[in-house]
Amino acid sequence: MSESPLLGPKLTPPHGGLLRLQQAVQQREQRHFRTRVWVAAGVTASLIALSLLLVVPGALRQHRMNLSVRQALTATPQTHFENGAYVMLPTRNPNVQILLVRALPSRQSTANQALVD
Amino acid sequence: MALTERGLYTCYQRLERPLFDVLYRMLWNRHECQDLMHDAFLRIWERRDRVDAERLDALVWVSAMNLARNRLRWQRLWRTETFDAEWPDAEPTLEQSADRATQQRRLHTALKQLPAAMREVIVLSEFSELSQADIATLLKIPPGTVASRRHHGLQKLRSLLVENDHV
Repeated sequence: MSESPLLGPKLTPPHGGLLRLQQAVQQREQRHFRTRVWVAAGVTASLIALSLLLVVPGALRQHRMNLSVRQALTATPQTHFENGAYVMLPTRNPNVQILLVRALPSRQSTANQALVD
Repeated sequence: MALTERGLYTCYQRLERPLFDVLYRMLWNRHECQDLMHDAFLRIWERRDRVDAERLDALVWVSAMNLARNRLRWQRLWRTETFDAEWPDAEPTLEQSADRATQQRRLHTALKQLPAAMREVIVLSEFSELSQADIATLLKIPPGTVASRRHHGLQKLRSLLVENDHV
């Protein structure tokens, strides 16, 4: 299927075509790799931020409540139980109520603590 | 079988010359042809996950021909046709160079006067090293149509070359 004289001779392409393609492919590969790294880093950072948002407020609240309980207990020197029921201790945190309940069977001075939010 | 980087480069080396010869007879600008080949191979590389390496050659031809058609459409739209008949690697004398440029301009003018479908068949038949059946598959026409377009196209091209010489 050749009509060479009519359509002219076969030509030589400009040099460097393959090298240019290799460089372009390498650049694309590096760019894809960088993109994947950035996406992975972004996802990881988002997950960390989300978990902090979920965990930290609860932990902080628990810490504040524990602190309030300790402060209330140390600030109350002597507690008198009214007919074996309970006594409410004043706390600085309005969300914390501390009730001292007498341990009935042993009649000891230690008391259980219950927290009601 | 998935396409590998090595497979892509081997294919480039295999098809560089025939692809360039065909594209040059469509666009007549060697740098534009090289850019187009580059783009065709890069497009295929970007879709490598979906490319069957066994059919890579056919895919390169389809991709390059589509890009060339788009480029020609764009040239027609913006009237930015280029003609680059210089050929530095051949190292011809000044006289040879002028003669070659004249010949290429003649051919360029005559080929441009042919219908696009006929021109594609002639150029592919001549330079692509593809069989008639492969050209038919590439152009999505029956093999008989390839043969007839080639036959009539070459006849017309010969007469156009003669006519243009007399003008």
